[in-house]
Amino acid sequence: MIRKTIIKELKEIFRDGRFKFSALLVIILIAVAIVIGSNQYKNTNKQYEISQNSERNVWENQGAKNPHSAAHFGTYVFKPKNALALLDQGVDKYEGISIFLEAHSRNEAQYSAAGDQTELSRFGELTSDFILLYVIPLLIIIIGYNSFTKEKEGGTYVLLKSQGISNLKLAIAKLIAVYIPVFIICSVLFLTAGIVLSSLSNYSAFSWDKLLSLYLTYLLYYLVFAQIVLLISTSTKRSGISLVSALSFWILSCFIAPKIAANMAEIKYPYPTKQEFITSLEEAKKGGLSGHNPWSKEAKKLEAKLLKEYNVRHVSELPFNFSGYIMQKGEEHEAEVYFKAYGKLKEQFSNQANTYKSIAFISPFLPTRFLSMGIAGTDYESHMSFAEAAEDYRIQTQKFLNDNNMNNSKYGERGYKADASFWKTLPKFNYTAPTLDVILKQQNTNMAVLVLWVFISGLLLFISTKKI
Amino acid sequence: MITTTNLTKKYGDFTALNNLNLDIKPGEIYCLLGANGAGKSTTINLLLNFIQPTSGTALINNIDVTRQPLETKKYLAYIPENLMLYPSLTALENLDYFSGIAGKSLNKNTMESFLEEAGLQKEAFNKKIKAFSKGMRQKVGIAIALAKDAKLLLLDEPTSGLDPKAGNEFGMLLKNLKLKGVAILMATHDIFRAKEIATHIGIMKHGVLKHQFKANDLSLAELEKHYLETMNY
Amino acid sequence: MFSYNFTYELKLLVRNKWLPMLSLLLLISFTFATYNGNYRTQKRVEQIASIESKVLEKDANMLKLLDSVEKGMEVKTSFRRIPNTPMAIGYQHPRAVTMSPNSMSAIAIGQSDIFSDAIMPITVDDDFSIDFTEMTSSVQLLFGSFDLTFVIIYLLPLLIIAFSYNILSAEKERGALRLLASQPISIYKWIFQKMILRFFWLGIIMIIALVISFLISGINLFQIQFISLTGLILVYMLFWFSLSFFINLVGGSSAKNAAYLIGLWVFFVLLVPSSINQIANSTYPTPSRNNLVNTMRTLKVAVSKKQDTVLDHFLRHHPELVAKRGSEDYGFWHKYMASMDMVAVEIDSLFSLYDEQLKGQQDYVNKWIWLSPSLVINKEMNRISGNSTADYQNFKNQALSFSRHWRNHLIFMLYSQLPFTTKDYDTLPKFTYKPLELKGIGMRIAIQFILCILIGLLGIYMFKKRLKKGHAILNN
Repeated sequence: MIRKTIIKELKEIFRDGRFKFSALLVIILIAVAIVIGSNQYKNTNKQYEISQNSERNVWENQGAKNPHSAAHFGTYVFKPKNALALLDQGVDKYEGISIFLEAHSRNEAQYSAAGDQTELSRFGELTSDFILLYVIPLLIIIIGYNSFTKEKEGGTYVLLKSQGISNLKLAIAKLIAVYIPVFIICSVLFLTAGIVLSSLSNYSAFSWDKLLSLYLTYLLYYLVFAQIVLLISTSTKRSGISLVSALSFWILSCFIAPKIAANMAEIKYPYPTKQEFITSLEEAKKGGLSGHNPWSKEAKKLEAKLLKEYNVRHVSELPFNFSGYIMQKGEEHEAEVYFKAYGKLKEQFSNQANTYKSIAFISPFLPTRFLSMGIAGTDYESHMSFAEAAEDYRIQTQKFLNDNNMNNSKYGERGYKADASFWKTLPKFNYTAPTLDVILKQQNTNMAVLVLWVFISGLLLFISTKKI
Repeated sequence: MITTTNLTKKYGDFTALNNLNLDIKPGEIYCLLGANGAGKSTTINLLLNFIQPTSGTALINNIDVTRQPLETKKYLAYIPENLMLYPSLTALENLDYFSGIAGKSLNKNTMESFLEEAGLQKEAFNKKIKAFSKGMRQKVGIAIALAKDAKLLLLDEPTSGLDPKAGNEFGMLLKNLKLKGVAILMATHDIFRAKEIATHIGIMKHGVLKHQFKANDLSLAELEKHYLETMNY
Repeated sequence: MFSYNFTYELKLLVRNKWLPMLSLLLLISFTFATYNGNYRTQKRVEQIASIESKVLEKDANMLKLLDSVEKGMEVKTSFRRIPNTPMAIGYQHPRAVTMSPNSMSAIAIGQSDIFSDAIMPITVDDDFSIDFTEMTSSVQLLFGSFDLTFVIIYLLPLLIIAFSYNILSAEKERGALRLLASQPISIYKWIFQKMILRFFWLGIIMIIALVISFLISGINLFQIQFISLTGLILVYMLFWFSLSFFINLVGGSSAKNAAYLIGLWVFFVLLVPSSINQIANSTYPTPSRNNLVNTMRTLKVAVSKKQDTVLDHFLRHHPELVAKRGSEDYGFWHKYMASMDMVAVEIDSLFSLYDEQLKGQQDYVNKWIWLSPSLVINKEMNRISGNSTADYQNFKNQALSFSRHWRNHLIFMLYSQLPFTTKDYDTLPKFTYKPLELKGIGMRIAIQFILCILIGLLGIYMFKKRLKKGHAILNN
């Protein structure tokens, strides 16, 4: 009985002009998105390799120099593009792609793609995530809005009932029928993406297990939509009303809820403006130790402590260069200041994230959005993980340079230069993206909310079939 | 009031109406009998210019329906099989609206007298149409026709789905209108009602007007016999 | 006919709860949106005020210190912080370069969440190192703000669609259309009147909601831009009403009409903008920023290696800076500024490529903007708010040119071996932002209006054709 109904429903769906048109449109959009996305991915990664090598070359060939000059000269690190960005660009275009690592300050990542584009880029781009998150749910609505209302309007519902099919079986069959076309489109998209990515994967780690979790996330998301669309179709009398209601749900959960969440998060847990952030950092640094100010109170305290510890009368008698030592201590203090400031920022972000989660209960879009870009490695957490790795590397580099100064020069010696070959001995910056299990642990709330959506919408559909 | 000359409507190869010649004068009630798809509704739709004839002409009050559709509609009133009005408006409001857009401003008393004349009970005047039965809605339809001072009434299966009492009341209303000199064209399946109120009867089949009688020229039994013979032919 | 339609349309709309519901929806969304826009605007105003007051405070202290030094009094400050050299001023006392939000800033967040409107360039900053980006959570940038532009462009059309998709089809489906069509009126005139009435009422509600939301947020209503904004919104509403009129005339069942109209919404609001954006980005691709970093770094190494010749080279190109007192005593800053100048000259062409490509993208977008009225309204609302890409680009250019001016002013003093004195304070360059001119909005409105009329006429033409075929009134 269920099989027969599924076949009949599928026949109706595939014969419907609107479905044919929209499915074709979705397939064209997917093709465009994958072509554009994979080209972009290839170019970005090629440039990433070139830039990394070029920058390392600059660093290694800066010639004989004082290590602290080199620290000010600094080095750049570049953010690699994650393979799954092909499927979900996430916040990538709003985050910088390179970070300048120098002495005394932690810099923000620079040059986001959005900064170089017109305001139109805020309308969205023809990317896979646009199709996956917005367009396919719309397709589900077009397939399913009249699933029940057409039977009611055409009078076939009474006929069906007289043949003895239960509402539940009818609903299950219709759900499966609505889901099948979407399942096919989604599977084809992910399979294509997998094949494209594994053939390009010489750049950065592509893993099938991440792709598979992404795939499952979207299958759940579409199940929620299919169930809700059917729920609306069972509870309305007319196809027109059913369509308008389903579309209202779509608009509310995909467009309105995220924006409301964003504004509420900003109002409740505001970020500092850039100038405020800079000013507060300056204030925090002011009282503390600085390698460039050995006359400060803090520096004098440190000097006294050191003299006592080594039992010497003057810093020049220390077994190492005091200038290098204080430079390193200053660096550590500054790193601490930055760590605290960014810690606050991170805390503010996690407060914001909680606001998003609290609104996720009115929108299945939100948990899916976060889960998707989390798995794809294009969310804010992924960016922070890169920025933190870069900061760790900066701290290591500063220690590496200050140690050289401390151990190879004498106190008060002017014009000490490290050997031209010294720079090659600095370890290279290596960043690996977090693994799937780390990500999933981070995303457990979002996963739970999405699964909850599946159950609740399923339950509501089940209840509504009793009252048709 | 109605004159059609060789009125024909074709849909591709299918002929819905074939060379219909009708002439209905004021004070006549013309009943068109026939099975589903015989061309009765097509005739009415053509007279209303809802569809356009393939050939032939239709005149209402000597005005060509296709050339001056809006002019002809000034003289006619139409009550479809399932007359629908605005459910959230009252009977009076519906009457006011429909006569208003047709260009007639009426005061409340006049409208109430029309509703009364159409046989609607007083307590229903200010009730919303939502709660009305089909018979009550049709009475409002008649009131709209009365208000319009229509010279011609087009009725499509008006008595189907009415209970016998309501059907009878409706027949009496039509007879009153006839006395006022209104020409009435009514498509129906109901031989009994047709015999009772019609002045003229036509039997249609496959888009062709097969027989025409004066209602007084034959008895109900003869009419039924003719009808069945035509159908079984 | 019109007076009857007017009375009864109003009665029906009130009884069906359409008018109260629309009023409530518009009022809530307008007020929330304006509140959000105003929140951001106020935050920006506060930030700018605080920066400017800090600069003034710092300046006052600096002048006091300078005065003491000039009078030969002993000061406690470390010698590097005494502001008696041009470089100390240039390094430690930057000016506030700010763009204050305009009086209509609250209507569109625009690019104000990406770009900063306050920077403080110091003499060692070049075009390359000044960062114009604002600190906003990237998730917020991704989702965008619930501002008035969003409500107008995305939500208002949907309300219009829900409000008007079935004017004809509902009559047809309920069966009232046959009775209407038997009256001596033309059906398209009847629908037209209903549309105009619905447009009229929604327009009134919209204006009231706009006025209330502005009053709540304390935005001045008596300004010419408010009228421009109202005109823009009305003509945008008219566009969607004319589309709906068109679909009502040529469409079929209510569900079909709703599907067509949503299709049009997806087309105009989502697909056209993202396609134009995509094509603009592909036609005028932004060169890799990483590549810029590489080039700049390589140049810096090259310049630092020929440090001895850099200063000579620099002075050859800037003879006006050669020390007048014949002193050969050039120090660290002289060399530093000279090598900075050399890198800047070399990298300039590469750097301007970004602005060129962005301009290319912008021109391309402007060329195709008429494909979607949503884009026109977006652009105009952004322009009115002063938060468009063009406005920030304008600020950026003015800020960079000020930064160069500031640097050159101090470099001249540096090379002229002049100390910085209290008298020099008044001659320090000051920044005032000159906003872009706002014109041509009336023209845009007029063009959109004509477009609406054309859509309406096309609808009537196609409806008349359908009337002849008999499809318009009967159910087949």
